[in-house]
Amino acid sequence: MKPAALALGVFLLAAPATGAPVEQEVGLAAAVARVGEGRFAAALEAARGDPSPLDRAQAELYVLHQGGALEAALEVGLAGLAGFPEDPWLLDRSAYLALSLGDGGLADELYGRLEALVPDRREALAPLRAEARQLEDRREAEARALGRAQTVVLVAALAALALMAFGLRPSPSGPLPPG
Amino acid sequence: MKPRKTPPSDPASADMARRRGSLALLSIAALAGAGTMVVELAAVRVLAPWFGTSAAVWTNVIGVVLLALALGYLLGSRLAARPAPARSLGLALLIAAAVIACLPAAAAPVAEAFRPAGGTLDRAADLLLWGSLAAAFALFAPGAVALGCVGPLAVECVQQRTEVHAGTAGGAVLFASTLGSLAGTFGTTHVLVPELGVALSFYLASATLAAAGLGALALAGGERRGPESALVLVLVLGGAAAAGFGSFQPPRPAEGLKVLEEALSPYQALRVVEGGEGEARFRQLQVDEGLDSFQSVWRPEPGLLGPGYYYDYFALPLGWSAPEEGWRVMVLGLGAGSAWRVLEGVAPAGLELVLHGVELDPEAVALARRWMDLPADDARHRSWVGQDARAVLATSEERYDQLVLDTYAHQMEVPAHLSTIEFFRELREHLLPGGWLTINIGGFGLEDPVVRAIAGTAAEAFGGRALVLRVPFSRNCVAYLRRDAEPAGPGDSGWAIHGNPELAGLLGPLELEGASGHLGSGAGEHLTDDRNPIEVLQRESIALAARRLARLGGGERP
Repeated sequence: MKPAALALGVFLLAAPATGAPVEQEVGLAAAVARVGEGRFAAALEAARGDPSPLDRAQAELYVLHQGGALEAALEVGLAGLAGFPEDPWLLDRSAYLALSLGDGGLADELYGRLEALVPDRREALAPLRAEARQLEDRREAEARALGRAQTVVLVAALAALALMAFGLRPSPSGPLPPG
Repeated sequence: MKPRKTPPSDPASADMARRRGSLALLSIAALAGAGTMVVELAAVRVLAPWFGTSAAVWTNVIGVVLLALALGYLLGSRLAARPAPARSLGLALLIAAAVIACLPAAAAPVAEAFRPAGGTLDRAADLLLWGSLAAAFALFAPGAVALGCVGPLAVECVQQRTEVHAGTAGGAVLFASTLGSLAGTFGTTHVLVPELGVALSFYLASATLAAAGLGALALAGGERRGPESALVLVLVLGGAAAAGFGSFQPPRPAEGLKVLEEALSPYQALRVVEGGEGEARFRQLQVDEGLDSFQSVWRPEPGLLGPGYYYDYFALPLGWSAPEEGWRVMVLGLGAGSAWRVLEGVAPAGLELVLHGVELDPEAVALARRWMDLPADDARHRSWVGQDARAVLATSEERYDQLVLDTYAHQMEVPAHLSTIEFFRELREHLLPGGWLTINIGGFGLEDPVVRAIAGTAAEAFGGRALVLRVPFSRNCVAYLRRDAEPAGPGDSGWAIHGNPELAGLLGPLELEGASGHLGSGAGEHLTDDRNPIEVLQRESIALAARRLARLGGGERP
């Protein structure tokens, strides 16, 4: 498969909302600092060592997203939201990841929840929600097109069988007519 | 039943008239054969902008045309038993001509009904398969049924006019139509499509069939006339109108992309598009399907292309080996030269970089030279254009520090003969001691069946393990193999890159779990020249990825 740059994923993430001293060995701030140094394995280790479940989820998502592991990052985000369904940062990042991975339905749902939680962001989120809906519309159009294609193939196959049945009837006997 | 025409009283004249009539009928059969092949071969090109030209699409088109021809033979056999077969022959040819004239104009709406604009490669697997089958039925079956009628009707006419045995008449018609098919086959691939384009090829085929149909009607002479005359007129006018006003409209590029040039090659439809502004300006070489992928990419400055581009990862061996004098690279699947530009941009000053490349499609290279700064051959660059990668290597004794394997057919297919253990063994022989093979593999991670099959097969050929890296922000993996050595992975000595911060910067994200790993022989399906189910694996790969994403998004939501 030729390049398929998920360009949407290429952006600078805003640092997670919770702050912590950079010199910490584990935790969100340490993870952010190590990502800055290009030490992603160490960053992930630091993230996973955070004692706060919310900070841990945020940090882990941040590291994985920065490392381009989009599916893994979304998985962490959704797991984090299971415990903290109203965390705006997790909602925002998970929605963006879903959008990057082409899951418009999930992105729209998560953006909708974020919008309800932070009404001030409605205007800023509008283009992202529009993009998410467009993706979802496209997915539905593809599903309809697939159904259409399968119907056409079925009808064509039945028509072919009917034509065969017609054509294979016994020919009339007797002398051939002149040309 | 209409009475038989009075035969000429002079036997010599009668024989001459029979011969002329028979020759005309055989010419008609030959023209119909040629027209059939023009439709069959150009049909794939008509569908290519929406569905590509993969083996599945070819199979669908050929299958539909064969089924329609079979039905046409059956229908023709019934019509042959009715009065006035020459008139039926003329009508069948005119119907075929009219339908074929409409194809270029009908292609876009029909194809888009089965494959909506946009979409992504990973979602499109089912649509490409079913959509191309449905579109082939809708577009090509009616004309092929009509063309199928020609054979039995022509046999009947020849048999009646010459009063020879049915087998003799049938053999003569088959001989003529097969010769016509032969001419249509070579003419379509080598002359019509490249020189005239898809639409004009169909119009020419339509005009030829219409002329043959009118010829058959003229031969029918006094055979009964009736409402068919009006039908003929409508069909001819309808076909002419479609030819005059309809045009072949491939899908438009995505919003924000400007088409710089379009071209049609014997292999695919290509276009160069440009997007972005200033430093973010880029150009892409796009082919066929028009999904969210492209064959090559260009940025104004050579060097790393940035996150999501697998080409950057071809440069890692340059950092790991840190050569001081020279580095000889052969890129198999040169495309528009993206790999060359990346390597040129990151090679340390003073390093003598020699870049060779093989590209099957000459039009891709021509476009790249005009729009994407692909250099012409000189002391440091050499390209084999219009040739197959394996064939070029088979006749070459050159050895390289690095081979880059980036050969893709139809956007998403690794050609079967370029992914086998025999080919990987040949590649190994073209590497200098310690030399690198780097393979771009479209796949969704280290568990992907295509990635495991190709990397595992290559590992067996090299007698070691392959290092596989999942390219961040993309759905590509790059496999690395070394002659007489094993590539180092994260944490191993030899992994770090010193003295080239740009390349060293690529390594960090690869240290995340699941982003890299070593695969040995037996990691996946064993691919050989004799048995290579790579297409099946590619479909599996896409289906698996789609299912995983659906599970992730559709699971219990928080």
